[in-house]
Amino acid sequence: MNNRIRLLSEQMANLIAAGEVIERPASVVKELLENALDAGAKNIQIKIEKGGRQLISVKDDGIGMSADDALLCLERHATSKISAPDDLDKIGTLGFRGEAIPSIAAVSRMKLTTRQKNNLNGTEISIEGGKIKQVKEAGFPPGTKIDVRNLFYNTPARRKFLKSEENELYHISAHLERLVIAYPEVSFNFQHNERQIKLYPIVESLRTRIITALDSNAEDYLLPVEYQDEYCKIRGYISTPDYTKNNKQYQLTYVNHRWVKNNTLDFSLYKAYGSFVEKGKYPLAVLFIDIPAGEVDVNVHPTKREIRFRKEFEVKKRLLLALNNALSKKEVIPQVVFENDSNKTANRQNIFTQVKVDYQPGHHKYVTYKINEDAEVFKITSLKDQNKHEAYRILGQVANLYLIVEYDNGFYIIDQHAAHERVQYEKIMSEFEKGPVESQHLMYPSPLDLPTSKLELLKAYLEKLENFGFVIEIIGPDSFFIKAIPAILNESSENPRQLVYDILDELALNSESNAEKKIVSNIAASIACHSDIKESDKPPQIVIESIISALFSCQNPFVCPHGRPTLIRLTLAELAKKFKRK
Amino acid sequence: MKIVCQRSLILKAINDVLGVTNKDTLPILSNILLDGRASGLELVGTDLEVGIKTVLPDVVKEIGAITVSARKLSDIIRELPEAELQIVLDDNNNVIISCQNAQFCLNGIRKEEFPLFPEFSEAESFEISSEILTDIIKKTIFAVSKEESRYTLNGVLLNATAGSLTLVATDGHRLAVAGTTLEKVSSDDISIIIPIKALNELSKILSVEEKSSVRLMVEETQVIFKVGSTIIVSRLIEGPFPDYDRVIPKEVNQKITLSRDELTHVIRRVSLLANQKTCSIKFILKHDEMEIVAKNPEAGEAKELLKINYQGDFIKLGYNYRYLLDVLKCIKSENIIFEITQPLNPAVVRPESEIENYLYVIMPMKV
Repeated sequence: MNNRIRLLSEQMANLIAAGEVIERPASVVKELLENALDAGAKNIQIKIEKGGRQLISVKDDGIGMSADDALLCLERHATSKISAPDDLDKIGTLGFRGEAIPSIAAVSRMKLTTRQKNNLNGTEISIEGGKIKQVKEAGFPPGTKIDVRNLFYNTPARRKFLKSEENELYHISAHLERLVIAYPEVSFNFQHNERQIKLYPIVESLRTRIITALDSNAEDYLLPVEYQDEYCKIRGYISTPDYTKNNKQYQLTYVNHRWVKNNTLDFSLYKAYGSFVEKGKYPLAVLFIDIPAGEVDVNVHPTKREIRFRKEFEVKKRLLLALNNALSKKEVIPQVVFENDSNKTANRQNIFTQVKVDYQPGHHKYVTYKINEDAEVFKITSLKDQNKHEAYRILGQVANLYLIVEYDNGFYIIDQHAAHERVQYEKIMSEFEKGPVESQHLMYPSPLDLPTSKLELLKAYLEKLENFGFVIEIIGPDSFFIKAIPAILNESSENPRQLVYDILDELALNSESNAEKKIVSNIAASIACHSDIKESDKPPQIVIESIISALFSCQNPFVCPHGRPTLIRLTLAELAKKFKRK
Repeated sequence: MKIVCQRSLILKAINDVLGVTNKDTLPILSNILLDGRASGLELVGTDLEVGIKTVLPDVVKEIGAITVSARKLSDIIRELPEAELQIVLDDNNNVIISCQNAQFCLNGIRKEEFPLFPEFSEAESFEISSEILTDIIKKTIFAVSKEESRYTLNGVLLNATAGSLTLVATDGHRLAVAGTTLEKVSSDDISIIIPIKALNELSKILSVEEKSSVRLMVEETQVIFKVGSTIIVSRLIEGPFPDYDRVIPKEVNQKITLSRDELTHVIRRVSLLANQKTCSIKFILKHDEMEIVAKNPEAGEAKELLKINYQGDFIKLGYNYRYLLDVLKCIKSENIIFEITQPLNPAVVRPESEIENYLYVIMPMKV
């Protein structure tokens, strides 16, 4: 009988491991940059060609390697960063597994050039698909340069899954941005297709780096966060509650200088701001937590994106305290109360208060009315389709805010402002579908200030934006001007620049699909916002009737354009239950 | 404090300062300061951005000062019959207003709570006829931006050099420039941005004032207007005003002369069917005629033909009709000149007569 099980060749093992560590060009950039930073580089040059398919090159002025080390680093699990198992508990460097270089080498044509300061000669090694082809002496300034060409050339399956050049570049820029923010003392020069995309010079403070690399508009809104005790140190910046973004991309958390995703940190931010931030809006936050290496486990995922805290509650407590201190200095936020209860109850309370149910406070039952536009229940196209809209009866208005309508075996409580917004929004959407979009040219083109990751995104969507009335002109490699805006915006005082930022934020979330719809709905939502019916208003009966009839004919009458619910339904069956008739 | 005065006299003074009192911010700012001094009764209102002070001589019988609700005071005095009235302050900060058989007792707030009126030097920058100033303010102020995010556009730029005074306003979609000659400017050239509110109040005061002159003083952060016995002090908007000269096209392909009244009527008619959100109308220029068209899928379509003198190419232009009507309202001459270059370049509208010293730039729409 033949033996079927055999050991994989080393090359094969590397290919498999590479799949785990190296997902796409951005992962290569990340690994190479981390190595450069671990080597103490002060100036790093990143060159990308064709979105990383053709070339990824990272050159640093760090400590460099000797010829022997250079060869050894190509072996799997060769690392200078740890040696004994105990070291795993106190990892202080960004990399440590010794997987990155051999993994990248396994799926590309790599050239590694390096020189230590004290050595007269540098070393140049060429590797193809993990096999060393040539080793020679070479002149080179102190530091290391790694060129990675033809990524995934020997793994066609992976190569096929690479996205467009713009998309890959977006991912690279996003990774780069996160690293750049953590290292204001290092300069980064980022080039794509021989063109400089962004130069991040060495700056004296984290604040300046945040403004230059992440969001130049945030300058006036940043609050410093500082906290230190024997357990950990927390520092960074958060925005005031009145400066928010539409998604979490501007919330960056770093543990021991490594960018991480961690729910505890997200939750603390959410809780610290509490109801001062509208649902669906996220304050900007860049937070660094320095904690003894033994207190975190970074060895959870090969890309080290996820981490675990040994004492999660201790971290959360301190973070909340730090955030609370920062915010209360601004005198806008009340005390955050610490609860020793389990997180779950606290969590549920929060969600509950977000759903406004004024008429029956404290009843958890209505948590179910938190509306999710994608939920199956709401897939019915409109109330009108059910051919029942004749039967509704307007009962009245509560607190000049809510309308009560009897309908369909129960009644609806309708937020008149949200309802009107929804009606306006659908009207504008249908206007967009009908005819050509007109645009108003501006006398003074408005400059757009964008982080690198958004520049490429903007370029990719220039044409689509123009279809909807935004004429944006490219003046230089990273300078754009809004030349014209959708004429429909004339009526609102919305700042068109902010609107473009918001649209790009949303496009970045899922850049491949539904771009048109997102652009239109952002424009429509911003106009609908300026609707005539204010929150506390007593419109005449005839207006109320027209709003309700229009709402009931809406495509989606259940949520306003900003995602808040427009109506709450209470059925007769539920009423009967409450009165203990059943 | 005791004041004895004819109703219409004090009513006019109150109305002069009423405009800047503000009920939304600090409660004290919704009050008006009545300061009876030996020199006369000073009435002061302010919203901390613009302050107005006016003086009524010969009405103070006993000195003293108090602040009262501006709105209430003006409402009361407006409703009183035209007669002599008396305003007295008692020891409990109550203001007693009596006129014939009517008596009102208004709660006052002490003068000390009221913001101090800004100090200023008397160094006059220039003097201008109130008629001319009113005219050039009116010709530009409508173009001021209402969008708060571009705060330097929330005011009117005033440039003064020896020989000329120019006002400029823009909201980024249209631009208005109006100028006049100026005898002399006392010191250096002046270039300041005056908040729209100050100019609105100034125009209001000038409209009830008899023909007079306005004296203007400019300091580092504020501007002072003196009209008769009234003083308006306004903070200046700090920051750069965009380079307005650059957007005025220097080379023009086509100059079309149109009757102002005729064009106004055509636009008003055609725009009835324009999309009321985008406000767009189209000018279609052919040989010797111009067709003005409005189209709105919801309402319908309107067009009207105008005979013009035009030898250029067939060309389609789009504009916001409200911007055009705003401009036509301000132009005094019988004919206007409409200057165009390319469909997507700014258009200039100016009065036909060469002596008139004002013009308008309107950004086109892509339609």
